[in-house]
Amino acid sequence: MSEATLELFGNTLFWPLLTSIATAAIGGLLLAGRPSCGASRVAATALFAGAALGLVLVHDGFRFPPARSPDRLLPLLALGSFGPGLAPRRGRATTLIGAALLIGVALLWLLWPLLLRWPPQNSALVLLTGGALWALLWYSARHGAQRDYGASCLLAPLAMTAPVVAIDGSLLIGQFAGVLAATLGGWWLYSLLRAPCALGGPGSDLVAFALAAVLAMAYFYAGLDLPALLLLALSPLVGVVLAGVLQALTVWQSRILAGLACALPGSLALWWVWPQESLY
Amino acid sequence: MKTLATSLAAAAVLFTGSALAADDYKIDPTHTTAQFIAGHFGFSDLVGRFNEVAGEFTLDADNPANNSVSMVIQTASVDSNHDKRDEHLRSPDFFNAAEFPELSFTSSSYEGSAEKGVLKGELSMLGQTHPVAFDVVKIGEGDDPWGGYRAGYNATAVVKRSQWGMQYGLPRIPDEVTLNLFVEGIRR
Repeated sequence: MSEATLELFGNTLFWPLLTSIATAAIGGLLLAGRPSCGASRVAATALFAGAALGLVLVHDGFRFPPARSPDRLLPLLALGSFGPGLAPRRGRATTLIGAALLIGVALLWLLWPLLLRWPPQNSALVLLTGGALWALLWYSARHGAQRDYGASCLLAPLAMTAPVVAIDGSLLIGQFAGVLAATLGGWWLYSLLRAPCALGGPGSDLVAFALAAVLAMAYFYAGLDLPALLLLALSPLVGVVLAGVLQALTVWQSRILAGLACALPGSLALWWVWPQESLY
Repeated sequence: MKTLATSLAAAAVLFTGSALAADDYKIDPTHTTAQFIAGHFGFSDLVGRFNEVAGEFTLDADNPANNSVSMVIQTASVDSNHDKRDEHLRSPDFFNAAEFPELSFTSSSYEGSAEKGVLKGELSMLGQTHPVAFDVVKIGEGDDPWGGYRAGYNATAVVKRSQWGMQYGLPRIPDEVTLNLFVEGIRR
């Protein structure tokens, strides 16, 4: 394996995974003796640390304020980490309004360079349909947040997003998805070694935000095919549909089955974008 | 006072022989090609082009130092003879065509004769502008069969794409890219 390939795998998979595991382990040590398996905030912190390091390693031209669209992803992860915590939790209506506002801000931030050029009606349509899809993905993630198999329902779509986007759009954005998958995989491994543990609300919020952002970026900036986008964005919903079946299984069985089931739409997406001829 | 100065400057331009000798040309996109040559992992050179090019140039036969060019290229028109690769070239990895639909070149000076010289200017791409110097060679000029008057030039420059923030794939996909412009213009 060449040095450049090793560097690519290191930046995309190894370092984010290691950072995620290390941060989760340190958080776990700091919280030793306290109730709950590491607390969900440890998961969110571990995920953010791994993802932030990976994104900066992969995209070495990162700038803030953003000069180009890939620069917009890292601040969006911060919004996914801390934004949901700021949303009011006083009743269903205010929670929904808070979530809609957060998604609206995220889409505006991500698509701002394009919205400036599009006619207003196109922008409104994109914000409404994109927002609805984003909300559905977020809802699916939250549905599994307190369940042992919840992380599998996000890990599988992220892992499938990486090759699909790399083939049908941008290697850079595909690498972003790879970084996020490796980061979540790191936390998943840690929680397996330590104790079966649910991802929790903050961790699920962050991963759902990250997955939605990567897919939106791949679609609007890199021309990802719409069927592939829909298959990947709706993958976590499989966990919601199969909730009754999964909850009747053991922890291990539910994790594995959830992962396999939620990877199916992504596999279809991979088949959809697979090049008819060889990769160039 | 300011008005007087402006009037004097305008009069000077009007009555200067060199200004009168300058001809403006509109670039003919059907006979103009903007081409790039980039390395492919050190195995070979990949040739690509942009299919949508527009612009104009000015030629001053008496004083070539007044020659100037401005060109605009639609980045989404990139064509490397492979659809999947073209999609990739349009992505944020390379030209980021959705966010930066145009790249442009505006000359700032020309040194040389009417036949060949060096054209310096600013190349704007991916939201950044940096200087570039093209070696220019005149191909020919004269009346065309349709009653017009045409002139054509070839221009070549070597740039480092990383200067504009196009860093993806470095160093396996080399930093240096050759730009070739084959330009024909119709006198206005």
